[in-house]
Amino acid sequence: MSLKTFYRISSLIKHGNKLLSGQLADAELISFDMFDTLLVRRTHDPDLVKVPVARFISHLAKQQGVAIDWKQVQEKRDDLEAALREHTGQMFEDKEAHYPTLISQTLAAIVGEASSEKLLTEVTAFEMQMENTMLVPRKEMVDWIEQLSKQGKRMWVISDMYLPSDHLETLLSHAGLLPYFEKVISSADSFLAKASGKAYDDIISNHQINPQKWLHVGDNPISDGFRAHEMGIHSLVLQDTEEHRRKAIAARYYYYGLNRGFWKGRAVQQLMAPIEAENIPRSAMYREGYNFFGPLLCSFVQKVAEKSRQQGITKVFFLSREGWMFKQLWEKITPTIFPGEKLPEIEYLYVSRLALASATCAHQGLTPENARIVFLPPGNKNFEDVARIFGLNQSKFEPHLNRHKLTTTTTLSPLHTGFDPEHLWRFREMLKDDLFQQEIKSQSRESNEALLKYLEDVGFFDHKDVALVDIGWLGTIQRFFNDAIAHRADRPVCHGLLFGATRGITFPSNRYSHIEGIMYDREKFNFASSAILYARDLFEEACRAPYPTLNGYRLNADGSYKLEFRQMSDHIGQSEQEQDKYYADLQRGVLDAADRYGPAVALISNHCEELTPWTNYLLVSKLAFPKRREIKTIRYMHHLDDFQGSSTPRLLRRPKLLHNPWEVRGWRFWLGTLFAGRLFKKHLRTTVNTWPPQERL
Amino acid sequence: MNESKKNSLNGNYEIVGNTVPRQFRHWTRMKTAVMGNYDTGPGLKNLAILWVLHKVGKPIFFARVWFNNQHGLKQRIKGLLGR
Repeated sequence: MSLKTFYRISSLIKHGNKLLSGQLADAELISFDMFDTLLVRRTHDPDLVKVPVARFISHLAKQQGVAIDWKQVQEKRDDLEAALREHTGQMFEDKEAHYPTLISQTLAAIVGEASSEKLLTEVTAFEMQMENTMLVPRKEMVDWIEQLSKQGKRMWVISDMYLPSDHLETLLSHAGLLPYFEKVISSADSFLAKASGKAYDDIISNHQINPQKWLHVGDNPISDGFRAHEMGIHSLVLQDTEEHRRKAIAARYYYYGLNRGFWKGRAVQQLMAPIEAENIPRSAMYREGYNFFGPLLCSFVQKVAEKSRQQGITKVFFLSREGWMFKQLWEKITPTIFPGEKLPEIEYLYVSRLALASATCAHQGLTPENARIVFLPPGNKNFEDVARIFGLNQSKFEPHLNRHKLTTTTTLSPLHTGFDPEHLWRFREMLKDDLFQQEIKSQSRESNEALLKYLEDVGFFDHKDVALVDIGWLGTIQRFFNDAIAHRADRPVCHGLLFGATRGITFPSNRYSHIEGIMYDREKFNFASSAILYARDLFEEACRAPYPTLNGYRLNADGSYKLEFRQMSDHIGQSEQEQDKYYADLQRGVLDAADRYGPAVALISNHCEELTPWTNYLLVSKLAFPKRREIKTIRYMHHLDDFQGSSTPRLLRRPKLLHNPWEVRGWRFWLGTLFAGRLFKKHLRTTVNTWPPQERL
Repeated sequence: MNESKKNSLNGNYEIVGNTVPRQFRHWTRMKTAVMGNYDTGPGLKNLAILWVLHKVGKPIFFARVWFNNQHGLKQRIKGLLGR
């Protein structure tokens, strides 16, 4: 028999193999400790897992009509656990606890005996789910176990834990390790623990194991080392120095986060980080998705969920195509961040500015505000662009244009050659012409009817308060959306929750429709988050669904509606497909990050605003002071703007010497990154000088 | 442009693309210009400790854990110190 301590897992395995091929070639049993030997926790403190469970119990109690704070739940649980251990200590040498008994007693103390049995299953399932998200199998240990299993070795798991063996089996099964083990023994079942050596004694006498032919592997020098050694068992103790270091680093971030808000988000990211077999080489795009976009987008979705609860929103509509990503993030993070809470229904809504524009004029006609939106993108020049955006048949407007001495090609944008203010004045006069507006309304009616049928189909009008979640930036989609449904008496209040609200044009807020920027809003002076403006298209590309945009809503002959998507066979469609392929790895990274964001936030953070200092740092550090290789990696190749026309503006300025490096290439890109500080000061001046936002329409 | 594949968490348990030196550079910028709201910021002492843990923590932790397990050695040291 021997007792040996190892500081690296590889040396332990090497020694174990040497023993098993020599002195212990006829070993009857190889037993493993479970926690910190087979499985490691992402967090430094196992008790942190109890925090979201306490929150869950608090919500369950609320549903039962009992108002109790999660901290009070935690205190009650801790008190009962101490009492339970004290009680066990009177009968056994080890002061062990039994999880089902503990939780039953906790629930009974909070909601009463009658409801506690029913809730026990729910609470246990949630705690097991949280434990599963925090436990990771040790890669080298798994490889060794696989090897031993192939050699036909008999392996058990022995753990000193308050979870009974069937609960431990659930955890091992989730980690994919259960098939390798013949038996799982927990001190919670017998109250005989390794700490006193009674567990070994019990196994030797009940299972007739010869201790001389037993190898035990664990991490505790007393329970897994000395006690086993005393019983004559060969024991190998793992004191992995790197694991100690990993946990010490995680602990530092956690404790710094308690006093300094800056570190809170960093602590969440440390907990989200892939470890052991999860941490495999990935492409730069994946890493950017996992380490940068993932935390930012998840934080946005968490804030959306929080706002929805506060504002009494009953359904959240994620607008295409960025909503495709947001909806997936919602589904991944909310079950662990808001356990047991009733959250709004969610739905993915197919919309686009182009599709809504054609439906928006059916009742109010073409308003001067909407007509002016057409000429915001510099590529739009004349009435042809107006007709393209609002889905109008321009040949039918020729009589109206002639009446106002205009043609379809008359330049109406001041950015283009041939512009005359007189043309614009005539165009505005035409907008007041009833005959012109009647033609507009008649051409838009079909699209509007189809849109309304689609909205009825997805239950849009069944709610009083709905959220429209979109990436941003001007709120044009919601403006058009509001115009298209304005005539309906049953229209809900639309709360527009945008990733970033740049408010380049004033949004017509009213009691039925308003927008709010969650990560950045120009109306709220948050300078750090204004770094989004450096590369806003980047967020669109990172979130965009990998399928074509919606071109319009059409009515079928039988009165039903259909959604008409853009054809992808042309040059722009091909570019977009190429772009989608390029960003696929980044999107994979974001979705993988979301799997770990929920549990990490549930353990560390109490409120979504706590992560804001860190997300601000991420935005400024990555967008305003990026590394050249980061820009080269994540900047898009093609960006489709369905509003943008094909005309080249006359007055579009060439980039200045020092220009935003995200938007230029070649030597200007180099200069932009070299003088990032000067560009940032310029950005600061612009932001301060243009705040508060002025009326633009 | 894609680089070669690397782990998302490097060998020093730092998030790739967001290491302590980058945070330190940002801290120096925060001290010289208006950068926005970072609550209290990272703090120089915290950054220094984290740099040590990430960069040179390997031998420190090895020595610490190894010494912690040397019970005989600890007893002898205590004896030498007269405690």
